[in-house]
This record gives sequence, C-alpha cells and structure tokens, in this order.
Amino acid sequence: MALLTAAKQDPRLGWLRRFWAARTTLQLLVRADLHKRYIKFRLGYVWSVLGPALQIVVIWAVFTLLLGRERALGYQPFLLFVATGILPWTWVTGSVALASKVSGRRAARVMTTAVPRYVWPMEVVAVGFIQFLLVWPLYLVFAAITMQPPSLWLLLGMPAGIIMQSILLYGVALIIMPLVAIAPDSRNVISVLMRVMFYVSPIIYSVSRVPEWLQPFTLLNPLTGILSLYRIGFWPDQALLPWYAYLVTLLLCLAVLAFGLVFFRRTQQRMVREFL
Amino acid sequence: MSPSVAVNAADVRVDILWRRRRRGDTKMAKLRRLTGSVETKNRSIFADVTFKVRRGEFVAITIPGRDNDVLLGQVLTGMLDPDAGTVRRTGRWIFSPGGADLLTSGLSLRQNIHLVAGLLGYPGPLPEEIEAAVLEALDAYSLRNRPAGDLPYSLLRRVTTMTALHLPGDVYCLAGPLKAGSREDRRLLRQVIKQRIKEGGTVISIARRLPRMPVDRTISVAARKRRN
Repeated sequence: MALLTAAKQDPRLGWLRRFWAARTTLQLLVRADLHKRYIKFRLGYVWSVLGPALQIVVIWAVFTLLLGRERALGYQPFLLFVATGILPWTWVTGSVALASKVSGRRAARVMTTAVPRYVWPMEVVAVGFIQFLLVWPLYLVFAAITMQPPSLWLLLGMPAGIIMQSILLYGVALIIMPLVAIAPDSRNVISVLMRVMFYVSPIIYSVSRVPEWLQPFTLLNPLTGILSLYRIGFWPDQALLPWYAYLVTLLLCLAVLAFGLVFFRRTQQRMVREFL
Repeated sequence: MSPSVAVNAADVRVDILWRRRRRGDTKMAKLRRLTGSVETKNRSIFADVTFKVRRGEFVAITIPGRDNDVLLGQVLTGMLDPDAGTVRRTGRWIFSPGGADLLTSGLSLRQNIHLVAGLLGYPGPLPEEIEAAVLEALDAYSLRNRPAGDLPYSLLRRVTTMTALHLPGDVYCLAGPLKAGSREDRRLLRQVIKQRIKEGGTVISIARRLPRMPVDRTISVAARKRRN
C-alpha cells in the first residue's frame, strides 16, 4: 500500500496525487477547526450568523437612516446590496485572520508531517468557505425582507464567484502564512491593508458610483469582479460587467495564486524553522 | 552488551544518507555522513551522525535537549530539510513525533486516529481493521467515540506513536516512544514494537533516555549549543 511518506520519496508520485491523498486529513482538520470555533459558545453557530447580520444592518442604518445616502451608493434595495458585499467579505477577513494566526510549537509539529505543506493554507480557506456557506441563508433572508427575488443568474454568478474567490484566497493564504512567520510585523501591515481593502473594494458602493475616469482601475482589484458575480443574481442588468472584466478578475486571481505558490515554495522551510 | 557510539557535535551539521543494500535476505539501511547542516535559532544541534540499521532491528538513539529527538526524526524521515546536504531514504518510512500535538480536542478518539494516520502519511480513509487494532493496542476501544478533550493525557500522548506503529511501513522512527505512561502502557507499547520487529520492520527510538526495553543497538548523539 502506497504511503505518502513513500510518495514524498518517490518522484513518480506527483504533488497532485499527494494532495488528493490528504483529502481525508483536510476534511478532519476543517471539522476540528470549526468545532473548536463553536464549542466555546453556547449559541455556537448563531454567532457566526449574528455577526455579519448585525454588521449589514448597522451599515444599512448608517447610510440610510442617518446619512440618507443609500441611493448614491449602491443598487436598491440597499440592505440586500450591503448583504451581497459583506458576506463574501467576511470570508476574506476570516481566511486572512486565520492565515496570520498560525504560529507556535504545535504549528511546527503539524507542518512537519507527511501532509504536503500546501494543504495548510487550503485548510484556512476551506474553514472560511464553510463559514461562508453557514451564513449563506442570510442572502435569502435579506432577499425575503426586501422582497427582491433572485434571478437564474444566481445559479451562474454565485458558483463562479465562489471559485474565483477560493483561488484568490488560497493564493493570499500562501503568501500570508510564511510572511507572518518570518516577519511578525507584517501582521499589523496586513491588518491595515485589510481596512484599506474594505474601502477600495465595491462592498458598500457600486462601481458605477466611482468617478468615470477611475472605473477602469477598479478592475485591477479582483474583488470588483468577484462581488459583481455575487450580485448579478439579484441585479442582472446593473451588476453585470463587460465580459473582459471577468477575464481580468480570473487572470488576477490566477496571478495571485501563482505568486503565492512560488513564494510559499521558497519560504516554507524558513517558516517551519521560525515555528520551531 | 549493545555497542554504543558517541558522536560529538563539532558544529551545526547533520549529515546523513540512507542507503538500502541487500545481503542475502537481509535488507540494510545505512546512514552515512555527508556535508550538510541543520540550524534552528540557538538550539542544540546534532552532528556527524553515522549508523546503519538492519531489517528487524530495534535501534535506540539518545539525544539530549528538549525537542531534539523530534528534530532529528524529522530530518531523518524527510519532514524537515537540512540547511545543506541531502537525506536519502529508501522504503516506507513512518515518523511519529510522539506527544499529543497532532491531536485535536474537538474530534473523537477514533477521528483523531484517522487524523494522525493522515498526518503521518496514510493516504485516504483509514481501514477499520487498522483503527480497531490501534484502539485495542491503546486498550481504549470503549472510549473510541469520546472527544479527545475528555480523555486523559496519558492516553492521548500514546495515540500518535501507537497509530504510527500500525501503519504499513518498513522503518518506524519514533520520538520519545516510551518516555511516559504507566507500566501497563509501556508494556502494551513494547508488545507492539516487538510485533513490528518480528514482522521484519525496523524500529528506531529517538529519545533523551534509553527506552526501558532490550534494544539491538544504542547510538548516543551528543548535542550542544551552536557556536557562533
């Protein structure tokens, strides 16, 4: 029976095969992580829904009730618009936070096993994805509240958005994990960058509200295309970007992934040494 | 009396090459010195490690310093690359870092056995026979569905080593396999080690002290702090 340890030594067995062989382990790790996350709290899963739901309502209340600017920012109904931006964003923040927290003796132990190290950033993204799936019903809740039924575009846009976001976040996690281990100060930089990303991404505003001369540059942010894919299910006419915008988004996601793979490959040994 | 080899660390280098030979029916793995080094901050480092093991042999390597047993095991089994030089192995190697660091409190004992098996290199789902054998060897069949967080640490710290010994392999490299536990725990572990050796497997124990059971050979690795 082939062992992964043997696979490590056997050049005939590719990395893809080792990756596939680690699927059961990945599944158990994700399960354990989620269990650890929810076991501490009596309300468990409710908190993961309550957090983003409250954030959505607060943003909606501030821009609608206090500032009265909702028409100037995004599509109507604005509550659903904010929900379609915040929910994918929580996946981004969750994965980035998890990736930058990996450290210590236990990390060194688990990262020096027969499981390819590339699996660990994937675990981080997978945990974020499961949490995203757990809060996904909020889309339908806010759609029901605002009486905005989803169109068939949802069946196309949502999976495409999820795939692109997974690629992007895996690439980001591949960069962050070794970076934080080697240069702990980068954790603070990442935290600041995440705040900046929140405002430069069309989460609480639509691209059409950006000054015209700036609009082409918004495509350089992969979240522009990804968020558009999440939104076309509810606003097929307004949220749909030109086809090349999605191509640019996909290429950007793949570029981040490629850079992440190269960076992780070069820094993984040093990262583990830092944990030891 | 088993022969003992003392190796002094002159610098931060571990230089190893595993080679398998065939002499009649006896397969032999040899560890030979090459150029290379392992450096981790200011930790104690081992060097000039040269030894060979035969099929069906129980070798005990003693190395001072906290975690150095795990570090040496990781380098020997290719989990951690030396800073320079190469480690070449043949056959199926299984390394157990011992302790309970690979376990997760949220999973049940049997799920943890599956997790550990995966981390140690078993591809895909673990067959029920192996799971049952590990549980039996741990004398914990009735506790299989209990969360690891509810189980005594004395049991949890044996799970990794016991799982490693039940996976199919040629060389079992165990860090601190017999360093803790009750007399009965150690007896159960010795029984499994003997069984693996009887089946032709090679078992290498790496620990601070000699294991409390007869060994074919002991190798002492002296370690000291890195010289800058």
